[in-house]
Amino acid sequence: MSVQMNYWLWGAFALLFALVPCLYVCGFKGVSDRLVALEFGSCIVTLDLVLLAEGFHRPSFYDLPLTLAFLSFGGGMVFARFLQRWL
Amino acid sequence: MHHSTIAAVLVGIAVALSLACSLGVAVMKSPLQRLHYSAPVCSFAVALIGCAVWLDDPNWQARLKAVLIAVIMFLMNAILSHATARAIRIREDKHFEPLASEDIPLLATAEASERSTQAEK
Repeated sequence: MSVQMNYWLWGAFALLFALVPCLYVCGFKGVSDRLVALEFGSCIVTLDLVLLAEGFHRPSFYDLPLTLAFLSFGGGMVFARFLQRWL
Repeated sequence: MHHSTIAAVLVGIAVALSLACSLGVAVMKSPLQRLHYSAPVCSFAVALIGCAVWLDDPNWQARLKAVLIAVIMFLMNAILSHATARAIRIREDKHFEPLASEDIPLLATAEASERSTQAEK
Protein backbone atom coordinates (compact mmCIF):
# COMPACT_ATOMS: atom_id res chain seq x y z
CA MET A 1 0.00 0.00 0.00
CA SER A 2 1.58 3.27 -1.06
CA VAL A 3 0.09 6.47 0.28
CA GLN A 4 1.19 9.93 -0.74
CA MET A 5 1.82 12.45 2.00
CA ASN A 6 -1.26 14.59 2.59
CA TYR A 7 -2.06 17.24 5.15
CA TRP A 8 -3.45 14.65 7.57
CA LEU A 9 -0.16 12.79 7.59
CA TRP A 10 1.84 16.02 7.83
CA GLY A 11 -0.33 16.97 10.79
CA ALA A 12 0.29 13.58 12.40
CA PHE A 13 4.02 14.02 11.85
CA ALA A 14 4.03 17.51 13.38
CA LEU A 15 1.95 16.35 16.30
CA LEU A 16 4.65 13.83 17.24
CA PHE A 17 6.82 16.77 18.33
CA ALA A 18 4.23 17.55 21.01
CA LEU A 19 5.32 14.33 22.71
CA VAL A 20 8.87 15.63 23.29
CA PRO A 21 7.95 17.96 26.20
CA CYS A 22 5.89 15.13 27.71
CA LEU A 23 8.90 12.82 27.53
CA TYR A 24 11.05 15.52 29.15
CA VAL A 25 8.59 16.01 32.03
CA CYS A 26 8.16 12.24 32.46
CA GLY A 27 11.92 11.80 32.59
CA PHE A 28 13.08 14.64 34.78
CA LYS A 29 10.23 15.92 36.97
CA GLY A 30 8.38 14.70 40.04
CA VAL A 31 5.78 11.96 40.31
CA SER A 32 2.76 14.27 40.10
CA ASP A 33 4.22 16.05 37.05
CA ARG A 34 4.81 12.70 35.39
CA LEU A 35 1.18 11.71 35.79
CA VAL A 36 0.02 14.98 34.22
CA ALA A 37 2.47 14.57 31.34
CA LEU A 38 1.31 10.99 30.82
CA GLU A 39 -2.32 12.08 30.55
CA PHE A 40 -1.39 14.90 28.17
CA GLY A 41 0.67 12.48 26.09
CA SER A 42 -2.21 10.04 25.80
CA CYS A 43 -4.41 12.88 24.47
CA ILE A 44 -1.76 13.71 21.89
CA VAL A 45 -1.36 10.08 20.80
CA THR A 46 -5.13 9.71 20.44
CA LEU A 47 -5.24 12.76 18.18
CA ASP A 48 -2.26 11.46 16.26
CA LEU A 49 -3.98 8.13 15.59
CA VAL A 50 -7.09 9.96 14.34
CA LEU A 51 -4.95 11.92 11.90
CA LEU A 52 -3.18 8.75 10.75
CA ALA A 53 -6.46 6.91 10.21
CA GLU A 54 -7.74 9.77 8.10
CA GLY A 55 -4.44 10.17 6.28
CA PHE A 56 -4.37 6.51 5.26
CA HIS A 57 -8.07 6.61 4.21
CA ARG A 58 -8.84 3.59 6.39
CA PRO A 59 -11.98 4.16 8.51
CA SER A 60 -11.40 0.88 10.35
CA PHE A 61 -8.23 2.39 11.83
CA TYR A 62 -10.47 4.70 13.90
CA ASP A 63 -11.07 1.81 16.30
CA LEU A 64 -7.59 2.32 17.70
CA PRO A 65 -7.96 5.96 18.88
CA LEU A 66 -11.49 5.18 20.03
CA THR A 67 -10.17 2.38 22.24
CA LEU A 68 -7.26 4.50 23.42
CA ALA A 69 -9.61 7.35 24.39
CA PHE A 70 -11.53 4.96 26.65
CA LEU A 71 -8.52 3.14 28.06
CA SER A 72 -6.45 6.26 28.75
CA PHE A 73 -9.31 7.52 30.90
CA GLY A 74 -9.37 4.28 32.90
CA GLY A 75 -5.59 4.16 33.17
CA GLY A 76 -5.39 7.79 34.25
CA MET A 77 -7.98 7.22 36.97
CA VAL A 78 -6.08 4.20 38.28
CA PHE A 79 -2.77 6.11 38.31
CA ALA A 80 -4.43 9.07 40.04
CA ARG A 81 -5.78 6.77 42.74
CA PHE A 82 -2.38 5.16 43.20
CA LEU A 83 -0.76 8.59 43.42
CA GLN A 84 -3.27 9.69 46.03
CA ARG A 85 -2.94 6.63 48.25
CA TRP A 86 0.37 4.88 47.88
CA LEU A 87 3.00 6.58 45.74
CA MET B 1 -13.51 27.71 -0.38
CA HIS B 2 -13.08 23.98 -1.00
CA HIS B 3 -13.87 21.59 1.86
CA SER B 4 -10.40 20.04 1.87
CA THR B 5 -8.82 23.50 2.20
CA ILE B 6 -10.98 24.30 5.21
CA ALA B 7 -10.15 20.89 6.71
CA ALA B 8 -6.43 21.53 6.20
CA VAL B 9 -6.71 24.87 7.98
CA LEU B 10 -8.61 23.27 10.87
CA VAL B 11 -6.00 20.52 11.19
CA GLY B 12 -3.21 23.11 11.12
CA ILE B 13 -4.84 25.14 13.89
CA ALA B 14 -5.39 21.99 15.98
CA VAL B 15 -1.78 20.87 15.58
CA ALA B 16 -0.43 24.34 16.39
CA LEU B 17 -2.63 24.51 19.48
CA SER B 18 -1.44 21.08 20.62
CA LEU B 19 2.21 22.04 20.13
CA ALA B 20 1.74 25.27 22.08
CA CYS B 21 0.04 23.41 24.93
CA SER B 22 2.81 20.81 25.03
CA LEU B 23 5.30 23.64 25.47
CA GLY B 24 3.13 24.91 28.32
CA VAL B 25 3.31 21.48 29.96
CA ALA B 26 7.11 21.64 29.83
CA VAL B 27 7.46 25.26 30.96
CA MET B 28 5.07 25.39 33.93
CA LYS B 29 6.45 24.80 37.41
CA SER B 30 3.81 22.96 39.41
CA PRO B 31 1.74 19.91 38.38
CA LEU B 32 -1.52 21.79 38.93
CA GLN B 33 -0.36 24.46 36.48
CA ARG B 34 0.61 21.79 33.97
CA LEU B 35 -2.77 20.13 34.34
CA HIS B 36 -4.51 23.12 32.77
CA TYR B 37 -2.85 22.57 29.40
CA SER B 38 -4.66 19.34 28.56
CA ALA B 39 -8.01 21.16 28.46
CA PRO B 40 -7.45 23.12 25.19
CA VAL B 41 -6.24 19.97 23.46
CA CYS B 42 -9.14 17.84 24.67
CA SER B 43 -11.74 20.46 23.84
CA PHE B 44 -10.67 22.79 21.01
CA ALA B 45 -8.10 20.68 19.14
CA VAL B 46 -10.26 17.55 19.24
CA ALA B 47 -13.32 19.51 18.09
CA LEU B 48 -11.36 21.08 15.23
CA ILE B 49 -10.11 17.69 14.05
CA GLY B 50 -13.61 16.23 14.34
CA CYS B 51 -14.97 19.07 12.21
CA ALA B 52 -12.17 18.57 9.68
CA VAL B 53 -12.92 14.85 9.35
CA TRP B 54 -16.63 15.59 9.00
CA LEU B 55 -15.95 18.11 6.22
CA ASP B 56 -13.37 16.15 4.28
CA ASP B 57 -14.43 12.51 4.56
CA PRO B 58 -17.73 11.37 3.00
CA ASN B 59 -17.52 8.04 4.81
CA TRP B 60 -20.06 7.95 7.65
CA GLN B 61 -18.06 5.42 9.68
CA ALA B 62 -15.10 7.78 9.83
CA ARG B 63 -17.30 10.79 10.55
CA LEU B 64 -19.20 9.20 13.40
CA LYS B 65 -16.12 7.67 14.98
CA ALA B 66 -14.22 10.97 14.82
CA VAL B 67 -17.11 12.80 16.49
CA LEU B 68 -17.46 10.03 19.08
CA ILE B 69 -13.75 10.29 19.90
CA ALA B 70 -14.10 14.07 20.28
CA VAL B 71 -17.06 13.73 22.64
CA ILE B 72 -15.38 11.00 24.71
CA MET B 73 -12.15 12.98 25.08
CA PHE B 74 -14.02 16.15 26.00
CA LEU B 75 -16.08 14.46 28.72
CA MET B 76 -13.39 12.15 30.07
CA ASN B 77 -10.78 14.91 30.31
CA ALA B 78 -12.98 16.92 32.66
CA ILE B 79 -13.41 13.94 34.99
CA LEU B 80 -9.78 12.87 34.74
CA SER B 81 -8.44 16.38 35.37
CA HIS B 82 -10.58 16.70 38.48
CA ALA B 83 -9.48 13.29 39.79
CA THR B 84 -5.83 14.08 39.08
CA ALA B 85 -5.98 17.50 40.74
CA ARG B 86 -7.67 15.98 43.77
CA ALA B 87 -5.02 13.26 43.98
CA ILE B 88 -2.19 15.80 43.68
CA ARG B 89 -3.68 17.99 46.42
CA ILE B 90 -4.22 15.08 48.79
CA ARG B 91 -0.70 13.81 48.09
CA GLU B 92 0.96 17.19 48.67
CA ASP B 93 -1.22 18.69 51.43
CA LYS B 94 -2.52 15.46 53.06
CA HIS B 95 -6.10 16.72 52.91
CA PHE B 96 -8.65 17.79 50.29
CA GLU B 97 -11.02 20.14 52.12
CA PRO B 98 -9.76 23.74 52.40
CA LEU B 99 -8.51 24.84 55.83
CA ALA B 100 -9.07 28.23 57.43
CA SER B 101 -5.31 28.89 57.38
CA GLU B 102 -5.09 28.45 53.61
CA ASP B 103 -6.78 31.77 52.80
CA ILE B 104 -9.04 30.34 50.12
CA PRO B 105 -11.75 32.87 49.14
CA LEU B 106 -14.36 30.16 48.76
CA LEU B 107 -13.96 29.24 52.42
CA ALA B 108 -14.22 32.88 53.46
CA THR B 109 -17.44 33.19 51.48
CA ALA B 110 -18.83 30.07 53.10
CA GLU B 111 -17.89 31.31 56.57
CA ALA B 112 -19.46 34.70 55.88
CA SER B 113 -22.70 33.13 54.70
CA GLU B 114 -22.71 30.88 57.76
CA ARG B 115 -22.19 33.89 60.03
CA SER B 116 -25.02 35.79 58.35
CA THR B 117 -27.29 32.76 58.72
CA GLN B 118 -26.48 32.56 62.41
CA ALA B 119 -27.06 36.30 62.81
CA GLU B 120 -30.47 35.98 61.20
CA LYS B 121 -31.41 33.27 63.69
